[in-house]
Amino acid sequence: MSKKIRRFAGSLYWRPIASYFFLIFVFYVALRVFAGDSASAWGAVLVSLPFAVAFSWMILKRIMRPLDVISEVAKEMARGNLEREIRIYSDDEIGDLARNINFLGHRLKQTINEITEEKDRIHAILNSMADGVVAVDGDRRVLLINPAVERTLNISGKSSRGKDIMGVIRQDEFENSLKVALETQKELTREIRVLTPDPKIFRVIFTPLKGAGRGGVVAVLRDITERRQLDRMRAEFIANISHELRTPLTSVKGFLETLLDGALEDRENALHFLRIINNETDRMKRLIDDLFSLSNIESRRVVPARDRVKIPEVVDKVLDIFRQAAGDRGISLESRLSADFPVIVADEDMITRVIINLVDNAIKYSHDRGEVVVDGGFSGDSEVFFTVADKGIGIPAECLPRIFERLYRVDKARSREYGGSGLGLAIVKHIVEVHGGRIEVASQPGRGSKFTVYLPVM
Amino acid sequence: MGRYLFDKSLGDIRNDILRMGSLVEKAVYDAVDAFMNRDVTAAAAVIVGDQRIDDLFLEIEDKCIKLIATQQPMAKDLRVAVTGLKILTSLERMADHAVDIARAAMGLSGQPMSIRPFREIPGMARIARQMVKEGLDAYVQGDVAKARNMCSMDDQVDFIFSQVFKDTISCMAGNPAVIIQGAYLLYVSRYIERIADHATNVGENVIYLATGERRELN
Repeated sequence: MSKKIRRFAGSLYWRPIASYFFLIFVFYVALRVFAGDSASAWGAVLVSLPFAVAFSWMILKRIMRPLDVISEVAKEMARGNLEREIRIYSDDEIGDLARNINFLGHRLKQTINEITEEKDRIHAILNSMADGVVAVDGDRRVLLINPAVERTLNISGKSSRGKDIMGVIRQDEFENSLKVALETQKELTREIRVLTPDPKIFRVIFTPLKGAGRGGVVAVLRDITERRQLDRMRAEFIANISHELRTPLTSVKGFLETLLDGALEDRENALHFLRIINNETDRMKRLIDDLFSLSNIESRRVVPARDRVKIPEVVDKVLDIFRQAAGDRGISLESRLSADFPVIVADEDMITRVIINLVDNAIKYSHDRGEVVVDGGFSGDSEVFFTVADKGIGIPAECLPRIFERLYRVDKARSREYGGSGLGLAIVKHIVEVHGGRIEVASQPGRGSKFTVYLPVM
Repeated sequence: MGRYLFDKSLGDIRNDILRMGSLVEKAVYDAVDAFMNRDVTAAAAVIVGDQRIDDLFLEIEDKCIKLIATQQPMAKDLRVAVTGLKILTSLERMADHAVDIARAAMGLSGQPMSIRPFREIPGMARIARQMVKEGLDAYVQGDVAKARNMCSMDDQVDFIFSQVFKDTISCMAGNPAVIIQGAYLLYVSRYIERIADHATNVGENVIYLATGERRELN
């Protein structure tokens, strides 16, 4: 109640008072005209007061209050609350004003929603882009960094907004290219290597921002580390394969020349040379055979047969093949697979190949009097696994990720002396993969290695 | 106006230092990589690339001196200019050590590296590089906690260094054939250890810059 009074008192400016005096004057003049001399000033006051009160009450009720409400709502709109509506439905100008203000609020809300939606959409697109996006203004200050960049370069996009790009992405070439793009206003593409957190190569396209106030550049970063790595692997593979072929070929050629030069006459030596030539050609043949089967599996020209394979039987068969050679070095071979190991559907020849390669490796890299153990079991509803473990020389941790690459060798000198094409594990991996399985390796240098093959039952 | 120009040239110097930092980070990475693979081409690239770092060093040093001479900064501004100079010097030393490592890579080219402690080098270099990076990050952000944290990584590097030192000596004692590679290995691990020390200096300077405290952290 006191609030009402205060509000009423507050609304008593000079204007209502002045208008009251004006009213008195009008009444006084009217009384003078109609009632002659008997009218006094006090009479005018008495007569006009109730009229004035009634009149101002009406003004307060019909004009001031609604205007108050309207001004309150307008103020709140300015603060951002567009939800409020003015509930004045009168048919006069005040009602019109209220309706227009309501309409204004409604339109504003609609426009803001549209803009927000548009902004959200652009934001979502930038956020879900796999490529990195970095935008800077004409002074090379960061305007925007999308989550892809935050992730790969481990920086925070929010805290870097407005900062100089050098303080955010500390990469000399990147900064330089930005500068060039800003100065020439031309698009340019660069391959840029970033060292942290992990070494990565990006192909970055720098495009000048046109029509964006003070200019700027947007850089789009695509991670091409993997592609470069593949290029490197391919180049290495070609280098390795030529090396692998050239070595036996050189020795074959050498011995053939010696034979042609007259060693053929010396039957004893000639036989020895021919045997070496035979061995070397065997080695080349093995390599080429392996390469062929690898490329066949890889290109999926060979569709794996769907045999019912009893892995314990295959393992026993393979271990029997190697028993003689392993026994010579005092290495024991053991299968711990139980007879109720599930029968799986797979290509029996290929699976045999996998087991041969793994067991062969295990024996090769075992110390004399070592042991090779094959074990296995269920690893899920529809998945079996078997392991081939040795207690041999093991594989250094840094080489583990690469041992399934073609022709990759942990120790170049030693591998040749053991023989083998360098393709064994690559073939194993591909066979396992065409069967929908996977292979894992765990190893400790000096302690031995353990290869685990997972295969689906069906 | 004077203040604006001063702030702008300080900002320029800061960016230049960061630019030099990025070149140094790259040089250290490439040098260790070249050493691990005994890659002569990569090593030569590091040695040639050092010229650019040296030029940049002199250029930034000149800018710093000119700034101090013409603007006569006081209090924190003076600290900014002076620590800039000191961080610059640390970075230049790191680049020199990267060149030393690259030289070792060239000296060992074509030779096998078979002794065991050799395997510790990438890990050690990774920590040292991380320190250089975080030192520069701390400088950018004026982050004292980060600088302190970075400096504590120096202990790890020192530890690996002492291990490598011991192992290499015992390898060399056991097999004279590995003495040459062992000697190179000792040098290179020492250079990496020095790079980590210089990174610690950067961290100390960041702390001094932010707090005015002087603290020996290694």
